[in-house]
Amino acid sequence: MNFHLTTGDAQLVVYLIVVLVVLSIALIGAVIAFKINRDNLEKKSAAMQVRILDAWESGDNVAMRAVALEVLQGGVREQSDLTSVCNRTADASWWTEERSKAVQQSFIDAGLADQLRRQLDGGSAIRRGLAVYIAGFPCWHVDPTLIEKFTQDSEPTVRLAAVAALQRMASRESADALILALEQNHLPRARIIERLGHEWAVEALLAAMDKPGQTWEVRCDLLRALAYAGDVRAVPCALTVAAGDNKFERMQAMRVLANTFAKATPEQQEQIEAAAIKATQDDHPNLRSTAIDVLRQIPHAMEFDRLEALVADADWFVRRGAARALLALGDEGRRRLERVSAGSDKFAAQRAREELAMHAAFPNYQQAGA
Amino acid sequence: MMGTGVFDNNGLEWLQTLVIWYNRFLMYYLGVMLVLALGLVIVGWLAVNHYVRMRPLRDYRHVGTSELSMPVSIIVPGFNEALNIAESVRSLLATQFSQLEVIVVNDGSTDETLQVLKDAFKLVAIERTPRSGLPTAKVRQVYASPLDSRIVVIDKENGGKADALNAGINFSQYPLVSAIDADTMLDPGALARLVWEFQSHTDTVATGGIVRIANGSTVKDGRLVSIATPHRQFMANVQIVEYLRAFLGGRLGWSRLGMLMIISGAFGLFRRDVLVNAGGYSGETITEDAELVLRIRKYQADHDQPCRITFFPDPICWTEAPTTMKALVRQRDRWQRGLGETLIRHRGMLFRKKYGRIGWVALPYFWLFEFLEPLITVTGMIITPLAILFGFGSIPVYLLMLTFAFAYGYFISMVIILLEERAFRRYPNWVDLRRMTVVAFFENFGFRQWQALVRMRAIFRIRSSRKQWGEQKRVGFTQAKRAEELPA
Repeated sequence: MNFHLTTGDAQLVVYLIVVLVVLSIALIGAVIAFKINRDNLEKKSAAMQVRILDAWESGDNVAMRAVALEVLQGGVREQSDLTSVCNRTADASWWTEERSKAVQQSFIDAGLADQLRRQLDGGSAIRRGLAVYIAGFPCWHVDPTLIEKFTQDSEPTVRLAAVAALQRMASRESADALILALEQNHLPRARIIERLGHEWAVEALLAAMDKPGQTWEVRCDLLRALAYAGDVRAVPCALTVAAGDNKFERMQAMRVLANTFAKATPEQQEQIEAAAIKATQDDHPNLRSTAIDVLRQIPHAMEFDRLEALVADADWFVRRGAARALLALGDEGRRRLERVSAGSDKFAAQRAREELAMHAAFPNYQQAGA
Repeated sequence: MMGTGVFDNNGLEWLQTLVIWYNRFLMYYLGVMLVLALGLVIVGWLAVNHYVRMRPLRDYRHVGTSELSMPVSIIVPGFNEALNIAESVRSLLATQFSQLEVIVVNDGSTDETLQVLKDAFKLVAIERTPRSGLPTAKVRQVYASPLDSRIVVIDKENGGKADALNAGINFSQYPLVSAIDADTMLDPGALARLVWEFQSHTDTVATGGIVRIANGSTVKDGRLVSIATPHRQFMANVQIVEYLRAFLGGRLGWSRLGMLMIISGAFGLFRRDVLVNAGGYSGETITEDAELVLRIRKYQADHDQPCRITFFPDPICWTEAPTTMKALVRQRDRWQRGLGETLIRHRGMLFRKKYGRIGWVALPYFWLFEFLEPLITVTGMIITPLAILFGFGSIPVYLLMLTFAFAYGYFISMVIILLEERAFRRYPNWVDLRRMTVVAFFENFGFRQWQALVRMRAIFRIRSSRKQWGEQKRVGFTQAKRAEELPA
């Protein structure tokens, strides 16, 4: 072996150690400086949000204008702070008409409204998105038709922010804009339906149902939204559709009826009951299953026979729905189900036994969502 | 290296030449690897920046509460999990996401796992028809809970983790499926964040969240109530930094480049139909999660289907890191063997046009710089000093290389810590930052080298022995203190 460390090598070792020490100090220093900077930014951000909220709550025009100017002169971070405050004040009762007008005016006076509008017309996805997001709040009044085009934005986040903004606007115009987005099919349908399923959209939804040339797919989506809204104004339309030819539309219409039954007038309830009874004989299992959801809300003795027969339905969901409906109707329903559990139809018996076992283990299992 | 030889013996000249060429190769290899790694970190940093800036626009709360959000079946495979399983299920049910079911698969446990579940949730035996036919060991019974319709328990004969997951998939009813380990805790909003990814990008077939270390944090009612690094636990702290480096420095970059090949088995979300079409989880590799993603990519490419697979740094899953040397060795050994088995199994994808960047970039990278790296590194660690000892090598060059490697490793770790601070700030306290920077320094003196040895040994142990469940002994989050154990 031949190994030796020269003086030059020893010097090199020393130099390298010095390099490592210097590098370590530099990196640690960078981390410390970065953390201090981030801590300060976080404090500034929290303070900014407090100032915005205080100004809006105080109603002081000067203060509101000042914070709007601060947001204008800031950047993305300040606008993000603004969105945070908007989220915290999302409750409709916080935004009185007087407060909304005052804050909107402060945005105009400070030039922030113009800036946000310019952001809608161009710029980065983040700035566009922030402007779209803020548009949904009462602090900045924007025509919903201006936001509708962003449901087709190239950035998915902005598209979803647009539908969220239209929902928050909660007006006839914004509902029309959402329905237009639904018809144009640039977004997954569920993303729009979940935004439309509210009482403020019902009129627009019903009007869209009557629109000539509407496709059955869109009509189904409109009915789904009506079902989620659960508004009795949809009952006449749903009753008409439930008697129609399209099975998919009939199914969605039955969902509307199931969700509105409790709030419907007695006359409407009779009509809904009749439609549900008819639907229990429909070919479509989902329709039969949904019809049961209606019937379980009707504690008439004559329904026991019908439900008992449905426990032997060919469809699993119908069997389950019928069994649960029987259990929900009290002791007589339970007795009927026990009779089925001892019957000759093995599928019906199995379903009945399981539901009875669930009920025995925890009688309120249906209320627990089970 | 390019040093002066002092041996006159011709018989050793070939050895000298070999060593010199090997050292040259080593230099270029390390250089290329470090450049690529730096590139991934840069891409990851840009991706995080973009994510942080867009974060205010993402309405996660709405995703969590909407009845129309894409529903998720969470599958929790369990083998002898009596200690944690009930708490784990409750924790999952408490997640901020309304449209879910939790399917616990009791994979032939020999302890009281099933009884614990029965007692905790008043389970009732039901008939449930599987919706797909992935082959599994025999399912003995399916149970539902009258306390919560979201709970389903499958009791089956032992078949291994992959088998249990496939049984869960068969009985799942929702279009999205998530496989979560029984010993992990989800952040309350984690699922909503992952689902958002599917709802905003409809071509997504799989997405994974970040796995973080819970050691040192405080747990209450199955949730993390405060996050901290553990005190005086070098091993746990070094794994915290390591995980951050792997996820924020590695996977984020690969995801941004559209070449993500691994979704952590502890926390991933998949489209159910794609899972089933690809054949579900495979028990033929020891790390079924890594192999699955590659098989999904292959299947989708073979059938000309979109295949967007992403990593999302915000949804967090917390897990317990091994704190004993023995457990850590087993874990790293398993990971390396699993990686090898996966790469070998899918070697047919290499350099095939059909598989695009995966075949031409990602797979070669993983072969060269992940799988074979420990072998090359350890060989270099042995040969180079020996060469110097025998007069072939140059001490200055060797020292320079060592210094550069250390400096680079330290630099990358610190950049990742900065990235964590920039985007997530899960460790806001100075003491945690101090611990992480200290371990980032000292891990270069022994830990990394030791890990390279473990991984190198694993290369030669591929297929020699295989256990189907993780070998880590469950201690019920003792490393994460329970709130009630803290002094008042």
